Amino acid sequence: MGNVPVYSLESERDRYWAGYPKIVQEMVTGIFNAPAETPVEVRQAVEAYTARLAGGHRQDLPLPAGWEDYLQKMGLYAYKVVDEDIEELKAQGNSESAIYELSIAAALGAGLARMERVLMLLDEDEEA
Amino acid sequence: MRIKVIEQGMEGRSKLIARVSRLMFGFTVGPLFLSIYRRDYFGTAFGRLSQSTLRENTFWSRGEVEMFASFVSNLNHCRF
Repeated sequence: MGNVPVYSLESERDRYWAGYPKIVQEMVTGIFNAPAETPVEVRQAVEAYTARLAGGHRQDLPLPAGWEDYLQKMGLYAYKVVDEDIEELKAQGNSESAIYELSIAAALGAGLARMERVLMLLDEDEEA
Repeated sequence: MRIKVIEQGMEGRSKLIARVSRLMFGFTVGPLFLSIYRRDYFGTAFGRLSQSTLRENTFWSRGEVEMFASFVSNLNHCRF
């Protein structure tokens, strides 16, 4: 895959994801383009945040207020998420649909960053 | 815990699949549930990626890939 670029919203997004396997592109397309309650900018910011937590290269984009603690758990140790975390988000006025959408976006970032890291190491190994 | 909109938001065939899962196992199986809810957003792509990763590997055997997935799931405190 070569060096992982830092991508920005909209203008570079399609070119960035074009380097990924088609099946991964389908997943990214769904999460960023399918009808959703949350704005696409928010989903991208969430994906970027958890990707960076997992060592990925993404821009530092503004997160929605009140989500950082939950997203940090999602990005680093999702198994620590408990009912109270969800109840806290709902108490802040977030709908369950929004919680679902941003949780998936968070999982995408965390998972892709791990995949990117392995692919970078494989590239370095081939060049050595 | 399942957020209610997911349990109640299934329609048509997805709802039927979820009900059968609950009858058979007492709960909606996680990966199955993820692949049938909000198919356009995540479900369909997730199902295809899962199948591709677990079944279409050309180097590792199917059993080996399932073991890798099981091992990592265990590290993530996930029963699957």
